[in-house]
Amino acid sequence: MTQILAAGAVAVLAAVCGALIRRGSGETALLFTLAAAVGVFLFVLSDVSSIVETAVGFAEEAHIVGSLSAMMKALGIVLAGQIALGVCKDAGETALASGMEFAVKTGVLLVSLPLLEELLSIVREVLAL
Amino acid sequence: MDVDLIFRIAAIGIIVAVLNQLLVRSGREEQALMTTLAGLIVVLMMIISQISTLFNTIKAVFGL
Repeated sequence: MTQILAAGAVAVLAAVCGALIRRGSGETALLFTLAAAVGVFLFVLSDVSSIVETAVGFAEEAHIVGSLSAMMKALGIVLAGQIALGVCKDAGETALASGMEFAVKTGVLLVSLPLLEELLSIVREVLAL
Repeated sequence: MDVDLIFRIAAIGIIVAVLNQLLVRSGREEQALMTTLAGLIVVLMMIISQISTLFNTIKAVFGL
């Protein structure tokens, strides 16, 4: 719980400092908020690895390791893309943001293609019966 | 939680902003632009290492 409060406090503080810096020079404010976002992400990512380990443990029991790794890859792609998307929107570049959004969606789709094939093969088997 | 990096960038930003205003008011717009550019590059270099750490962590955690 304290980590969430710490992350929230840093985020609010960075937003206020960013607004202050934006009066001076907009570019530095953009970089400043990006640094704060990267800091918060790194801070939270340190806890995520334990979540991933328990998820992998459950997946091994349920024999769905392949699909879990695809889901994890998709989650990683979305996280990485989200930061770039946020920076583009902060800078007011909506065209760049939509391009980035399109890239994230294609990345996730590419990662989940094997899952779709698996699903189709199962459906074919059921229909063939 | 390396908060000191964030505050260091805030300090650079504020100093660059003040210097920029100082130079603009004293009639030296070019130097003001150069100062802002230098501050920007310094902040960018500091952030790039943070971003590469972040993306490597994401790659490691999610097995990308």
